[in-house]
Amino acid sequence: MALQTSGAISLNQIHVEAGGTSGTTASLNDSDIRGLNEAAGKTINNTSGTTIDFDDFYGASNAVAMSTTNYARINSGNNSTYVTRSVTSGIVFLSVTMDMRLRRQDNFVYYEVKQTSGASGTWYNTSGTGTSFSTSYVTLGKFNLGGITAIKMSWSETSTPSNSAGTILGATTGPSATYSASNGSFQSVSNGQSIGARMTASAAAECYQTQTAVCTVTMNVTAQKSGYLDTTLGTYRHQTRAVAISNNCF
Amino acid sequence: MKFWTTHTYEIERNEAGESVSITWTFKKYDNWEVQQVEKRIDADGNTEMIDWPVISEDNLVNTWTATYEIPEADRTTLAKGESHPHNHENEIAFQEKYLKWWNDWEASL
Repeated sequence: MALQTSGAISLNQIHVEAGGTSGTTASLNDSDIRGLNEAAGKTINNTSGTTIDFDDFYGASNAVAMSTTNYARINSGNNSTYVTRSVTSGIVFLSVTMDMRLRRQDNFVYYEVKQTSGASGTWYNTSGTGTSFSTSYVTLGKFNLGGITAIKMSWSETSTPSNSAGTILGATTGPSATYSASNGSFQSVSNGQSIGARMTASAAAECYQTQTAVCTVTMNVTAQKSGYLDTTLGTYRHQTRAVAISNNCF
Repeated sequence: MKFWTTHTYEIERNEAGESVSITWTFKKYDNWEVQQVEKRIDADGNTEMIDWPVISEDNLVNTWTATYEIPEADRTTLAKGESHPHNHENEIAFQEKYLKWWNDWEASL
């Protein structure tokens, strides 16, 4: 359990959090104490002999991050997945959809994506090599740990390209998920349960118009388990693209 | 999170009437609905209720423009027809140009 975030804090409390025995000799220069994980906004300098303050230890924990494995490219500059479809007709309104699901299936939690039929989908591995994917889920990464108690998806729309149009919403039916993901909120899950979201790019055209719509989402996937730091699997960038082309005018 | 962006455009032409640049005006909305809207579906005037995106100016959140300088090889004197009856061949030929401008602009972002 992490140290308190305010009030009186003693060297003995810090020592115990670091795995020491209460009441035994300790120093702020001890490597186990300097090795504690600081809370958000705090800094614990790991180098012995450097300046350190009791205040630095507020919220500190000896918990460690969960082990994870990623299969997809993870950064905000390039797509992890890309789904596109173009339709030409007299009057066109189309939606290009990708489903995202975070699923606990002990001893792992999987982050998975799939597309709806009719579109062309590609996912990029950690080397940047693209592979087609379709209406069956592909796994982009996983937490290598059983007994995870809560999971969350946190997404934001990326402002470029500037012709963005679409939606990103929590969903159960499309992604075949137990719960609809709430952006940025943890959902408690038991074994076999999951959270889901659906992103859609939509475009419409009539009377010889065209519309190209792009929905770009940056997604963070995080899990929670007692005794571990809340751990983010990675930051993924997903993009769907819909192209509507009207070839007539009535 | 539900958003929609519309775009209109203006084409700047040289003295020969060739397109030299296109400026899009984008309007972004933070909500939109799909409604059943009556649309003409053929040249005989038959109509049908179809799903169609409907936006409200109440949801307008941002407006901006972007200009693409059209390379000489991609310029045209063609323009989109604004009234019936449309010249199909002209419309399709202009559309091909327009889509190239759009795709090349998008790729440059």
